[in-house]
Amino acid sequence: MIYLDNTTTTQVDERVVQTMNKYQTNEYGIAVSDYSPSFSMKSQEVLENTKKIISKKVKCKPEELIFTSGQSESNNQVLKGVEKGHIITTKIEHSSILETCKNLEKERSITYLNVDKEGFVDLSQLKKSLQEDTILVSIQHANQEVGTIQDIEKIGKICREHKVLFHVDASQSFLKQSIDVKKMNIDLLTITAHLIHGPKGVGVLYVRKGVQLKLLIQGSRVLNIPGIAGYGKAIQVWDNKDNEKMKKQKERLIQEIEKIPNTVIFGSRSNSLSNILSVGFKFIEGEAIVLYLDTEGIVLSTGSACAGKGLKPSHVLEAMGYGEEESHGSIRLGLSKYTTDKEIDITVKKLKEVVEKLRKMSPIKE
Amino acid sequence: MSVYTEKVLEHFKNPRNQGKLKDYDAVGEKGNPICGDVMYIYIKVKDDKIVDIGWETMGCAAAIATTSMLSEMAKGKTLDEAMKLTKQDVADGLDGLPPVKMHCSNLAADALHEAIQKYREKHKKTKSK
Repeated sequence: MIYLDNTTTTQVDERVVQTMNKYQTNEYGIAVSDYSPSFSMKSQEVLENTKKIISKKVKCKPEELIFTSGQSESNNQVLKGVEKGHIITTKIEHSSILETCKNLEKERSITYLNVDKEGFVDLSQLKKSLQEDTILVSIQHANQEVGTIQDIEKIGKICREHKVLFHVDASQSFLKQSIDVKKMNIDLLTITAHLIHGPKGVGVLYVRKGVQLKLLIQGSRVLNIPGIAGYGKAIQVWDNKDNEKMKKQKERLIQEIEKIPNTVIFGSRSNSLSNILSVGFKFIEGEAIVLYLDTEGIVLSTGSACAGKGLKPSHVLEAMGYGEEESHGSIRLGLSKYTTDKEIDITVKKLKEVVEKLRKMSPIKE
Repeated sequence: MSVYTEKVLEHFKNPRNQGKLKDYDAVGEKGNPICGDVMYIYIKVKDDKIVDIGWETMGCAAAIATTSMLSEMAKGKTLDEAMKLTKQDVADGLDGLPPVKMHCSNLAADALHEAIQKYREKHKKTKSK
């Protein structure tokens, strides 16, 4: 199998599994207080260790980190935990932001910022949208479908000048782009483990010291200690050389896919994550492309309405100004450190075959 | 597990009667490229029977499989019999379709019916000459 759906989730690193196993079967205790038996206190060490590892990566203090069950919980916690007031976000966020905001519309006003054709947030619209009662700006670091990286430092500066809290969902970008919460003026930061070869169901929320946030879950919580231990390990074994490798592979993919006529490359060419590529093939449909490739053992995803929830096309491509004609034949390739050059070659070959086959079947030729 | 039946996947992978007929009597065209699915069904008629059928489809796996299935069902049938083919017949022939994909089988049946109607109109005109 060739797995190219790494923006959805990733294969867990074997070393991470070993670390997790240790805390499943050997050191499985949970500390309920600072005076718990030494066996149970091992769990405390896990929490502190992982916090330390993460804090070094995003330049915060370990005590400013809260463990969650992942991206959706971290994002929900922010949106539902901040004080009452106006919220600004964008039209291209993850569903855990957009669906939560939709629900919050009953009790507060929400602005959804536009993006341009490459997926960049309209900063002048952001400035104009800031109101007296604006409490929070929530903008993702990099997009889950097209990989476009926002200018977080610039946005952070605007937020700080207007004394508005700034939340960044960095689930896709963590370890692939550097993050400095101080330099970027980030008050709240979402990251997750399963996109960096860590376990599913583990994430973190950074809450800058002094920020008032009402916690959604109260009382002593049994944390996912093995998962948190694995999270720390996944970060430790991450090698920045893999980012370079993925960048080259993505360039090769673009180079080859562009040879196919009537093809659109979505997103920014200059400022995009090295592991995400979204392309559209005119006159054919994405679900059919994905299903054909699936029979060839290649796993990836589509932004086509035919495969979407409630037959809706990708909200990201829609916000970027692409009609259904373009999003209909769109597919998404997500690379990882395990993706090999040979796999890229096979994918290119099969993709060309499938596009040709489907276009031959299609009555629309131009 | 796929949301599609084995039969849908089988027709999707090995579509029957696919392609535009070189020498056809009528074509039915349904759908539009903006909403996604587009189906063209070509028929060749002899002695009031569909002796050959071909098709072109732009769409998802369900759209491709339903056109393929429909072409198999319609081939060899009289025009009256073919007019009676419904979207449910096509879906049943494929051992079912996910509910949200039923409109695909609708399009295929509609395109066939349109081709037959066009043929009959053309035929009427030539007869009356």
